[in-house]
Amino acid sequence: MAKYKIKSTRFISRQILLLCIHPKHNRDRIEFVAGQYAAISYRSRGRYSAMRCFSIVSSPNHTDELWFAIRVDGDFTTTLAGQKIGSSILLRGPFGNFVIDDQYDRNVIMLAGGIGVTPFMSMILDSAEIKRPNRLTLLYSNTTQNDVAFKDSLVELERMNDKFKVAFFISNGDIDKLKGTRALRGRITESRLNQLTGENYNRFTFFICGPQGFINGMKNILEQHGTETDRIVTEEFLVAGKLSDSLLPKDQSARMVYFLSAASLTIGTLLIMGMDLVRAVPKLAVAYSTHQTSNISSQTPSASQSTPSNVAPGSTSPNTSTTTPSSGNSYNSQSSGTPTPTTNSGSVPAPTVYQPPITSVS
Amino acid sequence: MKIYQRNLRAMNSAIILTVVTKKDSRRIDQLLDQLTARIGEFERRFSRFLNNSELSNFNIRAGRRTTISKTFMEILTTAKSLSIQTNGLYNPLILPALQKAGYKGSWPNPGNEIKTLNFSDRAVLPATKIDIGRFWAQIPTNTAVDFGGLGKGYLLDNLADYLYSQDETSFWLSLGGDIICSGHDIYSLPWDIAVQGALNQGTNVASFSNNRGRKLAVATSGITKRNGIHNHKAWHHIIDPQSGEPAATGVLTVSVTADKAVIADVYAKCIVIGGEEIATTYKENRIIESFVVQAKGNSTKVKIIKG
Repeated sequence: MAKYKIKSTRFISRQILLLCIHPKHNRDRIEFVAGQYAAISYRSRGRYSAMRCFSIVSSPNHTDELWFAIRVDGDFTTTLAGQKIGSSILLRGPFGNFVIDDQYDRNVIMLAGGIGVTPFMSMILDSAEIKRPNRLTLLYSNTTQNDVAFKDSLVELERMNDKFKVAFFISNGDIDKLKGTRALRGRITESRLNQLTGENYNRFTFFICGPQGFINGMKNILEQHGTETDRIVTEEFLVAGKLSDSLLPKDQSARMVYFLSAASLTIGTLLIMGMDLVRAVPKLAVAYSTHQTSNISSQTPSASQSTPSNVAPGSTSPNTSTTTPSSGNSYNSQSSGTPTPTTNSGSVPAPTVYQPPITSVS
Repeated sequence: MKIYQRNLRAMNSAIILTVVTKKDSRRIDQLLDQLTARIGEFERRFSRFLNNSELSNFNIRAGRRTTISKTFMEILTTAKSLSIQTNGLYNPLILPALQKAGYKGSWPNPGNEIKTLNFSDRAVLPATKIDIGRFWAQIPTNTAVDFGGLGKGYLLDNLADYLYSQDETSFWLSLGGDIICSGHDIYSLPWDIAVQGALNQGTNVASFSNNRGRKLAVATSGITKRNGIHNHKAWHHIIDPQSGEPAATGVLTVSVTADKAVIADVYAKCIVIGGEEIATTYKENRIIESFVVQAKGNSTKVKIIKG
């Protein structure tokens, strides 16, 4: 898990928060491919929250900062929006296969519904910076013109990159704020896609991102026109970016911490109750119970144990030995060195005799 | 000069990290910590025995384009390339056959099929069927990849390169008996690497000496360790990709040297599968530098062929 800090937050539309984070140390910096997402957790009341996944909107060519555009509509996102500059963020990832391939995806049509535009922003930025050969067309659908995010950026990117075109679709209300852009009233329909593709759908790769209903609608149109499965790439945005087990690799360490915390609290409580009981019984019983109590106290587990992330499962405590030349050919070793964090944390490395190189069946 | 050595266990193997240097113990401890972390990271990402490793997730997505990391891309590209070079004797898509033969769980519990993903019902196809894009790869549906044939070698090369980048040029590293060495020992003499006997592991039957002091890799492959009985049939972990069965050429173990550990790793296995004659061909073509083959001889004796 990488440690980041919040650099800035601001709202760019009614409900969309633009979050910028930067790595705490350079070694925490992650590399990603445009279109991928990451899981974020923030610190609140001394603990880290559960993780939620969000697409990275910034360019993969500048990883000293990561930008996320987040729809604020639930407890998690509301609390995240209230975090102060400098607050800690834990980040995992990147994840996802919603990525463009230069060779296979020569002509790309991006179909974005609402906040589903976020992964496309990274792709479009990347394409403009690196001058990728792929042609990109973004059809960006929103309910009202006030819901449109990144309008100015998209217009500017269209100006910078002659291989990129954008059209805005507004289902309800006016489009006067989109004057000067390619803006249309209504939804993305079959006739508009027919017009764009010349009804030769398999000449393009379609990337679709947004709410499930939007994705289903777009997929239906594409499939009716015989678009090959390989040419349809989707990324579903779950409600409030909720985590699905299938999206995030399993990590048992947080559960282990909670379990051990609960276990030690329970054992500690029983211990205190036991000691109180002991004080209330006759001397003969006290002598026997004291013996029992001292055994329990030496076995109380540490509440802070967790599975370390940097040592292979099954490894034992590594030990380092150092030797200097002696008069004979055999090496005498002394144990020294710092124990590294392992599942046997705190154990003293055993002295080891130097082993010469012998190759054997691996 | 001082010699520092760290022993640990990972990838179900004994690992020994040895560095000869003038630097102080604190600095070397940090270095060895880095090597340890890299080994742990490698196992976590590329072990087929971990169900949520990058490799396991890739295998689950067989048939679909999957974004992969740069390291995964490197290993997969190397694996595909070596498969073509060895005419399919090495094949990274061998996993279904390996599991079908009985090697389902992590050694030494190979029969522990409950905890690891089981792809034994899938097919073994040529590695040419692996599709590699700019940052994605795809294997055919109904296949599965295993890096067991070159993973240790790749990792050894990576660790050695890291030591060089830290100006440490005298070391030897062993991952379960596959070794890479460089420089000299504490007496400024070349590293001598002993070859363990195939059947009598208490004896050493030969040795390789790193006279030139540059990086030298030694890999030993064979059928004497990871084996067992599955469905009343004996198996070991070196599968012939053509037959889908454990190799049966009479070779017990092969130790080869090369300048890269990944080459030594792969070609040692190819000799187990292809037989002792192929070892000479590889040496003549300068793919490997030298070899020691231990094969079944007359009665209980082991025949030793050096080249």
